[in-house]
Amino acid sequence: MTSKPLGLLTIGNVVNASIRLYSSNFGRYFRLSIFAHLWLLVPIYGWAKYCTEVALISRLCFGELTGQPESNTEARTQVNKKFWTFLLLAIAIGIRLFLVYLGFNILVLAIFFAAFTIFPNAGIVLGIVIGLLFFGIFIAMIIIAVGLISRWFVAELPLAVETGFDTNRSMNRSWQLTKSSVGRIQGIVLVAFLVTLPIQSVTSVVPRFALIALDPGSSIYWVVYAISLIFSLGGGAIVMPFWQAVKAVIYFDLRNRREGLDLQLRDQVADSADRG
Amino acid sequence: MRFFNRVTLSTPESVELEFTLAGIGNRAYALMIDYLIWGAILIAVLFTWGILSTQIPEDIISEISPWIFAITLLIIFFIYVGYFVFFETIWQGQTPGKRFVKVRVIQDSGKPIGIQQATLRALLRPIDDTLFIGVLLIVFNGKEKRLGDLLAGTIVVQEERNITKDKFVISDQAQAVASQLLEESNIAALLPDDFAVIREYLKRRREMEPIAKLELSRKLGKQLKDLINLEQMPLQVGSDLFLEAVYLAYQQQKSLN
Repeated sequence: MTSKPLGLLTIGNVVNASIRLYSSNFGRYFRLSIFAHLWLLVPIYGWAKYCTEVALISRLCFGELTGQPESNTEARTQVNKKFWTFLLLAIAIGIRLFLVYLGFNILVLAIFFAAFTIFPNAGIVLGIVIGLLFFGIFIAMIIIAVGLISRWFVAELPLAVETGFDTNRSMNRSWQLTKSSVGRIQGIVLVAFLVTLPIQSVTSVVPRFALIALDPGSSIYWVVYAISLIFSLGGGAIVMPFWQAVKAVIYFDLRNRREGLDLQLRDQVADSADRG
Repeated sequence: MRFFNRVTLSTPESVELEFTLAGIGNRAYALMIDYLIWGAILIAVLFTWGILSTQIPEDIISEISPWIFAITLLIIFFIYVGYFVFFETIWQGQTPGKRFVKVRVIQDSGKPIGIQQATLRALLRPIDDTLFIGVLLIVFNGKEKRLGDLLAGTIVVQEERNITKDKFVISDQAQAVASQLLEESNIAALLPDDFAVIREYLKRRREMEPIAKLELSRKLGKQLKDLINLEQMPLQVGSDLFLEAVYLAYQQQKSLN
């Protein structure tokens, strides 16, 4: 635990705290992350395992933040109770985002057909108007999708650290906590992304460039391709715990803001254990 | 675990100053804002320069076109360096981005930076940006110095929060309850840490969820009642009002002593 409470965090300090959280536990989180990524190669069961291990890392991070660190085994017993739920949560969020995407596409098609049935001989003016309209719809879709992702950004945390939560309650909780913090969350994600650029550039961009330079049919191409695949998996394994730390810090900070989680008088450390 | 790097500086008058270092998060955030503003300025200037250079007559232009190219490069360079030097000098270590994010460049000694330090930092910035050398240095050295900071002898720190901004409203009824508490309870039993928790609660309560806020204030109120040996809660006093009263009573008890 910190000697001094963290207080409410600014955008930059959320990223700072996440980096410190990860670098202080680097070996432990990275090892979990590598094995989690290997599970991705096994269909369905492996994906559920991956989602659970990802949630496990965020639970470990949250434990550090509240001053109740857990061992891997302790934390795993807890998250394994909801083994399939984490995959279901990812699917539930994915389906909702896909529906938004689908809805916008249907809207675009409807406008397109409506416009050309009503004005069959329309000229360039109508074309421009429709083009602008589609551009506006596209921007609106991006804004809505990013907004939704921000509102569900910490949805796996309640599931991972609190008891008695299912996917719906977890999503609702994330929705409520992030109510007035959408802009802050987007700022945090942007800065966190900038900070990971040095790693991303080595693990994903450089191998891509190497591939462009090579002839797609040659055997060396496939060797480099395999290497680049390993690199980007490795890059994912390095970066993933950092994002889990970011989520845990955001969740912790939101609960401090909205519920005063960190406001505790002395001698109350003992009973805080069951608040998790 | 310490979540933020801190440094302690002692001034020549042997006063110890403690600072929290800015960290890569705040610095990346500030730089992103600066580059956006800087980019906008650059585009505006280059646009103007482009229009101006078309006014040069045709017959001269073929002779001096390398010069125009050179001048353009110089303009870019001066805006790049000038932006940071200008703002860090006139705003004592802050650029628009740093001001927004609330971080500041200071000398290793704690003094404000001058034009020399600002220039050294700005001249080394392109090297720090290449291959993310600066980012790696900031993350992996204890004082978070990039090359420019190492050479100029500077550090980047977070500005201490403005205390006057932390004001909050206390209801009118609180004073009466506070006087009662001063008589009937042992407010002196509270520690500064307890007081800090109450102040923090009063500061944050407006942003809290109603149900969570009620639960928390009730819990804190109950604990405080025991801590100050209060026989029974004053009648008709909600937990929020009670906390306000404890806050006032503690302050008044302090100023009496």
